[in-house]
Amino acid sequence: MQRALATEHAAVWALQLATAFLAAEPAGQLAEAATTHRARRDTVDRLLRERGAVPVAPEAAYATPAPVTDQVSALHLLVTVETDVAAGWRSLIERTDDAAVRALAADALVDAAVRATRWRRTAGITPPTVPLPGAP
Amino acid sequence: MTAPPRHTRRQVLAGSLGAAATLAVGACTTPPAPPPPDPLGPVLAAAQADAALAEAVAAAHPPLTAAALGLAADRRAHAEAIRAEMLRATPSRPPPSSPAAAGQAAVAPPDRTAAGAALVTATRAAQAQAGGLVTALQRHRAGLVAAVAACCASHLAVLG
Repeated sequence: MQRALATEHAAVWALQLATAFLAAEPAGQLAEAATTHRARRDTVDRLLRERGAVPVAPEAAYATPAPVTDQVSALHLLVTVETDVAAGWRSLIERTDDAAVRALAADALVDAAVRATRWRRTAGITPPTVPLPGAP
Repeated sequence: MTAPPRHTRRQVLAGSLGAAATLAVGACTTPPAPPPPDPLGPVLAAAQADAALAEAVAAAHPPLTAAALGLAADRRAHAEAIRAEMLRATPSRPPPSSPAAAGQAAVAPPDRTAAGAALVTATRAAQAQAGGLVTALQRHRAGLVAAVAACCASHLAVLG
């Protein structure tokens, strides 16, 4: 669950960074994505506290795989972020027998896969889907 | 210090008679009952059927070709991953490598709108089918069906 939280922290940070580089239309999707990621982050944070764990804190900044200088590089960063988020949630599904946690993680995995596909389409990346999101 | 349990001759006799009876029952029930069907079986069949449908739609309706071929490729990958997992779980019972209704080729609806709608309906059903198993299976299988559901959801975003 800590890994899922860490990827959500990174997603919230990356979305903020990408805002500066996106045109109006993808920026609307960005706002929706940011709201969802913040909500997921808060849910995992609460679940961890309820279980007596100390949730991992966000980093001050994250290394991006490539410099973010324009809309295309910003979209590539968003695809990377959603790919990491998907991996975090899938890994959680494979580490818990708690049905509620699995259901939450499965919903989050769906969201991450759908958003990654939207960013790939906006960036013109083909194919826009991957067969098994969250696979290592 | 406790005394070792003592058995009377009658108890010992009764015990061995019981064991003999069990052996006799065991001998009567060969061959053993087949294991219960793998819950991934229907997920495999749907992936194979969806891939065939998507390929038929791609061939019949050029405006849908890109989206349909993408769907077909991913559903084929799902079928392969699920088949591999079923085979790992029960090596003695290899799952079918082609749909049960082999010989009955998938037919694309002649109308383009209907063909697109057929893909959406199939993909939505596939997402629900795989997603519905996430809380019911062992951990690694749960991860697999969750990924299948997520992939289907991303295709729905493409199909619109």
